[in-house]
Amino acid sequence: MRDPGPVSVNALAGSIPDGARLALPADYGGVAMAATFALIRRGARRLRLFGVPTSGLQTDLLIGAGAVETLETAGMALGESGVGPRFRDALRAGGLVVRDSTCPAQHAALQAGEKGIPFLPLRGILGTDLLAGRQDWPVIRNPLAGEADPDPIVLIPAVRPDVALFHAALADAAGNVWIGLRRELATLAHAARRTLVTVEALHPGNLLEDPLMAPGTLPHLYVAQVAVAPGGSWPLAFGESHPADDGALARYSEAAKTDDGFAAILAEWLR
Amino acid sequence: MSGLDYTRQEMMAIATGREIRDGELAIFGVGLSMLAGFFAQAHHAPNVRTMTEGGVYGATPVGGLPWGIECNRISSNATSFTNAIDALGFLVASGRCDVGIIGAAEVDKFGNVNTTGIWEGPIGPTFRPPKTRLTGAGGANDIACGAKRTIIMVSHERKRFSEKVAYISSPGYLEGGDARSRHGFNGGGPAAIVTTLGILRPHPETREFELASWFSFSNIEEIKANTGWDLKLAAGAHEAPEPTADELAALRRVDETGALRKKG
Repeated sequence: MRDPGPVSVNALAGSIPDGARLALPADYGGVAMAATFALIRRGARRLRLFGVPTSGLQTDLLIGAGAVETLETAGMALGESGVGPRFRDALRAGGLVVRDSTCPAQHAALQAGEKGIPFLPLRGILGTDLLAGRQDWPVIRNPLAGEADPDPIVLIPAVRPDVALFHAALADAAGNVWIGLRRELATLAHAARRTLVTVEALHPGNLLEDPLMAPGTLPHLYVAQVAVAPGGSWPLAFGESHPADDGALARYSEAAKTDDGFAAILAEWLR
Repeated sequence: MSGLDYTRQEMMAIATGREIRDGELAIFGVGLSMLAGFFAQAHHAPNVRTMTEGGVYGATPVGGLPWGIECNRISSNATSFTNAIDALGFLVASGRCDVGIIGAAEVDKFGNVNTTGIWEGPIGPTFRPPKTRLTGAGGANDIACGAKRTIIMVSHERKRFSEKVAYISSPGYLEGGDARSRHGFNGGGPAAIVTTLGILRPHPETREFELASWFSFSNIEEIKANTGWDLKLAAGAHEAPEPTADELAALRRVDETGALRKKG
């Protein structure tokens, strides 16, 4: 059920329970950073993160804040600054479980989830070491292939995240959310049990009634809660209107190399 | 010598770009591979149809080296813009993509690529965490499996050129010979490993990578010394042509912030 009307960012983040399987977009895909700060402020724990399809600053922050138990992702990087420093430290300390994946495997899991089917077969991955770490990815013989053709194929089990959280440009009073070209967010919202969205602004009127906006609109059926958070992706970019704060990102990459440095920059950003 | 002043990184980008043919549907990763691809477009392949993993089509970088597959420098003048489900999940996975350029932290003699981690000693069956964790497979696995051919770009250092990679993130020819064909991939595998010293190509039967060309500032001995397997000389191996003035000018138009000139 959708809550009526927009809620506060704190209320939205507060509805994400400890232990949730939480799906998050890549750094370029509309990251709800304001809500992430709220999630860290409330002391979230044992989150099981699912990258759509890769992970970056948001995940590094959550790991550093002690909120993450497992991370399933196709890749982890802070732009050109390399692997996230808190992610790297957590791996060294041994407290973080990482389940390596690939970009289409992450999307395929959600595509199976949105359809309500148990798995999606995916070409590729065979012969790599990814399979060694993924006992949950069976390899079968294509049942439609001829007798003489072994045609092995990997099955990616469906994923239905407990919560999807992302940032978008617009929502209307009905709870429709304009995602524009970010169609993977529609797949994510279809698969997730609850989808929480922060938006730059509220749209007057109904997005689905505007023929130019409707094709890029996620219907409210798939949206549980909306909060208004202008600039809510900071310091990450959001479309053309909000370029990345390169200075802040560079400062984070450097500061987060140490526990003290991370604590200081986190405290500053949470203020 | 041509008398032109250029860096090894620029030579690697030009040699990679020479592998791209006009009219192809080409997919690029971030950083160096993108510059190599857009160099080809600026120089000899004006009708190459470019795309990134994020679904940005027909764009050229604006304002310097893009830092991501969808950042404003790459998406601002795209002719269309979809998403990773379309770019990797449909176009690459279905075998429509002619060529992909991918990077590597480590590559082995059969063109298998590691971008996941560096381990000390064997990983073991329980998959212990690496000593140095790298980004992960990302979309490169899917390009390596689905593109008709791939070009691997990697800095030529002995630690990066192993008999066998510690971890296969993206498949080349796996154990060599016909090993790859047993897995039913739509793509054909790596056509070349282009490095900062030369170009390696797979033997047509064994699929072991051999030295096909060396750059004018390098030589066979230097390349062998920086390769972790007993590198053979390919039939017809030769020195690669130096960049022409036109090639260098085209590359520098694409690399307007000089990312390739900052390194040696």
